[in-house]
Amino acid sequence: MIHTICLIAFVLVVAVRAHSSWRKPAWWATAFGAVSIATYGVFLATPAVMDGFLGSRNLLTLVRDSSAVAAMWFFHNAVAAQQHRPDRKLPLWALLLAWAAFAVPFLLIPHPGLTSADFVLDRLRYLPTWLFSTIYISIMGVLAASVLALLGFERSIMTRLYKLGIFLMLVGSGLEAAYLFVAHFVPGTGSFARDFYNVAEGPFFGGILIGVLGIAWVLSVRTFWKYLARWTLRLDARAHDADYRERTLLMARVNGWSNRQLAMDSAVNIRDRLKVGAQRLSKTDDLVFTGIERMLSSQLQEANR
Amino acid sequence: MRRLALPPSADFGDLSHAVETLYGRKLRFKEIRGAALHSTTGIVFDAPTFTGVMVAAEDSKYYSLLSRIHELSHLIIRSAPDDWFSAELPRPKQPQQQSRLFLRLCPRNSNETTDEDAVREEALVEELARALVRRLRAFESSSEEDHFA
Repeated sequence: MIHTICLIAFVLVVAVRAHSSWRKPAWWATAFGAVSIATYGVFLATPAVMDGFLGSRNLLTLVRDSSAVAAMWFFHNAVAAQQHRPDRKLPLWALLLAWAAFAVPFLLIPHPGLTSADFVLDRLRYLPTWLFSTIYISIMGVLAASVLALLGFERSIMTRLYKLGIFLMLVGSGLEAAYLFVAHFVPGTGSFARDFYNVAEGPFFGGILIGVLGIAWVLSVRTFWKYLARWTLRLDARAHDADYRERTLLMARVNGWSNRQLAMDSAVNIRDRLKVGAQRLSKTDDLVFTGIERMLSSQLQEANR
Repeated sequence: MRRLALPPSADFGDLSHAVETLYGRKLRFKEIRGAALHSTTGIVFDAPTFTGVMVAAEDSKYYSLLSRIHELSHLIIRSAPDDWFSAELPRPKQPQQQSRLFLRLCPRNSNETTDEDAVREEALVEELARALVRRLRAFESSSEEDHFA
């Protein structure tokens, strides 16, 4: 269930952002995330079907984990860029090294067929299986901790969602590592291994979902302000000549104004005219405009917190 | 604007501190209620120990911020060193330094005055004020949107 919800969230942000953002590391993070979660099955393409294409040797598990690590690697670098910390960006060789670190033990797992959702559980007694799973989840945990450290004390809604999500992923990674250790090393824990096989699933995937919601939140805020800015500009343009709107949009684009900056600029012009009675607004326009002014003002309080 | 040397993601306090240093006087801000300022953005006056900036209390916060920064921009234009200006961008003629109330009251978006220097100063000041507002943390374009939207 949680896989399906995560997959829907991933596919949505990947599809909506594809056109404008495919060059950004954050987009690649969500794209790899979608690939990773899709390995749990999409409609008729069940894991068995997909793994069939890879020779029914459970290589799908390796694909899932490799794309998950790639997703975290890209996400880490997106956060580093956003926090103006280029020194904290991870190099490409680190990703390759991480892949190799768990792919090698994976390839050493004896009897890797047939496709099974309990692939790890069934072979956990083998050392390479334990090594593969533990190295993978540790890398995810280390990346999660590093992102958490990068996010620091910033308190926007996006960072709060990221921090909560990443923290849950960290808890999930810890639980998983502990489970793997007990199930592999402590004798007589066969039933424990079966009962707690999915122990980390809730926090881990819940965390991923909250993280994706963080991206969706920024996306919706931006779209929201884009429409508000266009609306305010249209209202402002009523007092100007015909090509004022186009001219202003061009100027905003050339100077790299954000939608909020554009909205503020138009709002000030409108308020100036309202004060001297040079423009009148209909009831609805007045209501929306007052709302926009409130939001622009609350922007100030948010920034000063 | 760059010569003001504001810190990255500056707030209004940083800006007003930079203007205090430039103008060489302490600044005090006051919101006045019930004053019929109409579209006049605000009033600046030099008291013996400080310089006061008054703006209308009834305005929304964002608007009042721009009004305050508009007045600060007058002070910047008045007191900036000569090398901040050029032949293409000369400093608008300033009123007598001896007069205590030497701010020209000229609302933006209006043609109440025809004094060429006053009109040019208002246009320049308003442009500077809006650029400064965009430079403040609250209205800076967000890096969140750059990277995650």
